[in-house]
Amino acid sequence: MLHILPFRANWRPVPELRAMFMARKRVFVDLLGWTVPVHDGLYEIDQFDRAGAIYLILTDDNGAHRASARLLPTERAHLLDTYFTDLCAASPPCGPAVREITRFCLDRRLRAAERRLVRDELVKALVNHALGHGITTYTGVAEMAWFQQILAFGWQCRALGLPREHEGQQLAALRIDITPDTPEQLASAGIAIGLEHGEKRHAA
Amino acid sequence: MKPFQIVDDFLAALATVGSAEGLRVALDAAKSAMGFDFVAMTHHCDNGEDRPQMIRLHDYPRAWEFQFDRQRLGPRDPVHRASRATLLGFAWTELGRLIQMSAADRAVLADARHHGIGEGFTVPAHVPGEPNGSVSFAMMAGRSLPHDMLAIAPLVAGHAFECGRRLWRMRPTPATRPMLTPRQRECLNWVMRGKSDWETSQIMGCKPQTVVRHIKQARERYGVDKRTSLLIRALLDGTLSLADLDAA
Repeated sequence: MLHILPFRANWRPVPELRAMFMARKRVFVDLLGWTVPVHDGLYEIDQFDRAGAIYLILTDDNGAHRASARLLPTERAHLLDTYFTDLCAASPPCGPAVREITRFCLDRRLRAAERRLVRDELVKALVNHALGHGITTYTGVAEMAWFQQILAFGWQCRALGLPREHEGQQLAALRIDITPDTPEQLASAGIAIGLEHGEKRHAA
Repeated sequence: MKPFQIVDDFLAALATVGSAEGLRVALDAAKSAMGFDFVAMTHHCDNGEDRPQMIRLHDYPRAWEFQFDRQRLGPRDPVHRASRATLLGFAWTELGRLIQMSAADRAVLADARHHGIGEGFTVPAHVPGEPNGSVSFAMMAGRSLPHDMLAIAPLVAGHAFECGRRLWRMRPTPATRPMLTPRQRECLNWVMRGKSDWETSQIMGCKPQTVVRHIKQARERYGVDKRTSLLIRALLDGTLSLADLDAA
């Protein structure tokens, strides 16, 4: 099931948000060792998790977190124009039709075969969300190690500047342009597999 | 030219590319703009055989290509081997950091130099479920790498390889990709971890014959005769993962 949820200050009673913040802590803090704030020793939440942020969350039939991504509006401070300005040759694309993808998170409990299916499902969900909400461009920061795989999704993706080293990792700022052709591009790259799952849009 | 402009120009050129020849021309222009003498984009396999699905595009001297194929270096070339040990670009001077260099490996590099190929920089190109590949940029012997261009080499390489994948139609359509049932995959996972059919049956709580049947049916789905072949195919296409092995 795909959940599309806005941030809310009182997120604790929302099971999908709570599970996502926990999964993010397990992935980004415990596994990848990022230095980001942790609340109550359980939840990874930073200053960009605030009103205006939108989350795409995939859960299993029991409501457990499988994968998630955070979309930030780009008309105000976001990661690319705050922490990673050096990754962009020019000022990063921003505006009402541009969202920044951050915290792309596959749950640690997923097995290898599931990971790829869930990853594809989340990519498809991002594209569908963009097409349904007038979003024409996604931006984001990625490790160069994954560049080839991100290109292999088949969508229109390119770097916004020279890759650089940040805290020991080669990072690049990426721009992904979403058009009505994008679903077909994903399909011809093999990302159309799996059944369409239900979608639940939660009220803001 | 400013490095990033070269990426822009290359992407603009790729947007109109519809053939391997077009890709070769675009890649050659990017290579020259970056100040390299040679470029080679390839899957790591034995090109001695005729395998039309394998990407291969290069402008190394013909005599070197001939030698490379005659010695069947595709799978054991030290640069190719090193690129399987990393996801990031590396200079050939760093090979010793990535793999253990044998006398034969050093001989390969010396032989390449003899054919006029000196220093180089290689960007691995790995996509799950497909053969490993790489894009190498190299210099004529005696010339040094254009160090200010190494930051854009992975971008040019990545887009070139992706364009190659599209042109060579690498990815099987979802309908032709074998899919195992959860039980078949679970059995195979235990095989990978070295369990016997009997042990697997005890773990899964079924009869040994059931395990044998699951594995047989999994082999049939992949169209292979041996368990080893099945295991390798399932690892290559991501149905199984070495990470699952570590979790044992």
